[in-house]
Amino acid sequence: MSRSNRRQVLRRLGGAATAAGTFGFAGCMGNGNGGGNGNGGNGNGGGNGATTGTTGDTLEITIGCPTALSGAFAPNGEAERDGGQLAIRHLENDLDVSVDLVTADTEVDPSVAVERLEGMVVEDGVHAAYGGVSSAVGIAMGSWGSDNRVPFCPHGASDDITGAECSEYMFATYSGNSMQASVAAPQMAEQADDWYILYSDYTWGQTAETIFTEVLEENGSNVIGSSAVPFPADDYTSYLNTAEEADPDGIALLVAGLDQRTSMNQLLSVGLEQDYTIAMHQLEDVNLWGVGQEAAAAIDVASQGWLPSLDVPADWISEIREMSEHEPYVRHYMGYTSVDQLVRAAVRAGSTDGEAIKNELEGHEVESERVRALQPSEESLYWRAADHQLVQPVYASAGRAVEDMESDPDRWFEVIDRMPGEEAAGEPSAECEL
Amino acid sequence: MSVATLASTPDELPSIPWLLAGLALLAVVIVTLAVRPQLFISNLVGGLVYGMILMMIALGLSLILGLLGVVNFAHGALFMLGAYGAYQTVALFELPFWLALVVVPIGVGLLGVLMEVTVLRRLYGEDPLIGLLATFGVALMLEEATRAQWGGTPLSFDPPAVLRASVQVGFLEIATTRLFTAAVGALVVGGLYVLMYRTDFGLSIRAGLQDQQMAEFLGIDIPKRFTIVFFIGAAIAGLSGVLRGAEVGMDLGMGMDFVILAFVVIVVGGLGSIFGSVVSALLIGVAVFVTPVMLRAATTVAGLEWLYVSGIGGLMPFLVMIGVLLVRPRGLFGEEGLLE
Repeated sequence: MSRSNRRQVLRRLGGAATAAGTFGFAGCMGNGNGGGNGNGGNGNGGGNGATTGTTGDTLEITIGCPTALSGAFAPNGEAERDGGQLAIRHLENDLDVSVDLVTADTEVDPSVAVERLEGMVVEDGVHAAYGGVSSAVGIAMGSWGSDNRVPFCPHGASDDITGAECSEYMFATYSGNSMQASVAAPQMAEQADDWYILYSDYTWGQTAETIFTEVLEENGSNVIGSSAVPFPADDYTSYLNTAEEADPDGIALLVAGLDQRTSMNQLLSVGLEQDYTIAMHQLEDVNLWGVGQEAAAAIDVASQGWLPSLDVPADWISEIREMSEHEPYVRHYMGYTSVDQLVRAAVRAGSTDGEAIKNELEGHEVESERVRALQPSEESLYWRAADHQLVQPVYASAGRAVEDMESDPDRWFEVIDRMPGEEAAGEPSAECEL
Repeated sequence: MSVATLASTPDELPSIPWLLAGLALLAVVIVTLAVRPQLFISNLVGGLVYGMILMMIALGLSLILGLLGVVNFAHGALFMLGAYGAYQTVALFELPFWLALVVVPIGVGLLGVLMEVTVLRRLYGEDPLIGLLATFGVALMLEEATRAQWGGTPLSFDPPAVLRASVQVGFLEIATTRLFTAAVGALVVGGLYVLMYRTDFGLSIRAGLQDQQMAEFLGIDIPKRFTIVFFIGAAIAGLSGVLRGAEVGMDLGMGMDFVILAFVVIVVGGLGSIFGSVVSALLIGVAVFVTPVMLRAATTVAGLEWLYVSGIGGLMPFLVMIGVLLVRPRGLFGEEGLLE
């Protein structure tokens, strides 16, 4: 695990003075995760059992970022980490707080992820954490966090995070599958009558296929066929052939990760975008950067949890560019928001205790001007108490024309519809019992 | 080690089960042609092209395994480097793609030579597991070096206009980049055959594999020839990477994704048989593409749609492997004793 060391000098200087004043040594929860390690007397209440970790009046908190830092999902994990680092920079400027970030590679394996999170809590004294690119990984860590009173923000979009698999200490920063589908499907229905759906053959894709079918049909369109595609898939040709044979008006690509790139590339290579309306679900810009502007331009409707084309502060965009090797996109936003919210909850509670942070987040209306600036609207953003979903707007976007992108290369997509979070989130799932 | 073969036939296939299986397959093909003719033909052609792409990726691996007995787990990393090398050449140096098609495989081949000389040469004759572990370590190093050089974001470059188009063959629309890859694959197979079986160089390689000591007594520099074989295998991986990069772009996971499929191809084809890899790749390619169509047609006609297995295409490489290994444990054209 790697740790950012920017605060170490300060902490060593303050160590002796704070040893006596540190409140964080007590409060072990008896869960075996070992609170009270104190990090060598630097005042850092360890584990999840610390009630506070302070240097004088400065609250010290350690945030974990267990996420995918190797393999195909590494760009997503890196963006989450980088977004979190920018949040820490801002929080340390805005508040009297010292934040330490610990990162670890979860790969895309839930058991590895839980092992990494446990290691962070036990060995590095992590108080709260965020990350996990896939829903399965996020749910596994959120479940472990709930068993051990460690607040955790997963970055998957499965409805299960706030549904059947919801748990007490898990808070969903990403807009769920249904939320994102609810804004895109009506737009799709407006643009084409008959749709063929290709979906990634695992829980996320299967759920998306069900939701899109329902919403499209509610809005007067027909789903004339669908094909499950193994995830990940290295070739979409046969599935595109199948879709074409069904003679739809539109093809919906409910596929995840880099499959968005592969499918779009192969769709473009035979010119299907000229004959069909193309829709994509939970589009993350990074996946199309590897294809090019033509691919983005070919997308008629995309659901997105957040996109850099929103009217967000230029400073934020430039700061992300400065500290990340990736252009800003939704994973930066999520990393930023998760860290901002976890740390502010600890500050409000005046404690790094997991239960205190959880209680502060539950039902909390986001007051952070920094986060609110990234969702430019008047509506309130809040952590719904019933299922811990961050209720926030969702967007339907469309690729801009290539010539428009050339004159404004930072904006590949434009928002064609925006749905308020309250409407998109609907009622909390009856399956979620916190 | 054993001599790789380009032409051998499986013997003693169980005739009655094969006959029944063949008849059942024929019946399903006829049904599919009757019910969904256009889709069947589209996917048959698409499957053959996909098989050629798989063959290109598996060929270098098969060559090195067949001739040198090394399970080169770094093959996927060399494939990935081919794609990133093409990106460097075309997108960053702004040189023509056609130049990348020549220069990058040579560069990857030279990297393969470095790997062979510094790591693998001392492992010949050892347990293949040692070579596998060593090359796995090299693969990790190459992946991290790639991340350090080009970053983790997926990348792409613009291939020439001719490779961005598609051609209409009857009712079929086929991307030219895929046709080009298939054509290059056919040329590489032909070239390998000529090199290994129609030249003195190939003869000396095969002699060295049969009896290295005797070949060296006759003045053949066997280590040098093995290095050249490794160069060729690595260069083919690099060439495959350039072509794949032109089709769908590149990312750090692409090597690992394909190396697993490449291993399936050579296991089905038979360890040590280049010809087997060719047949196996085409078989798997076609199976991946046409099985879902055939199964859908058969279940629809029989009124048993619940029998349709969603996502069956992705399972086919592994189902083919299981089926072949149950009937013929050394693969379709594998040789007795190789890596056993």
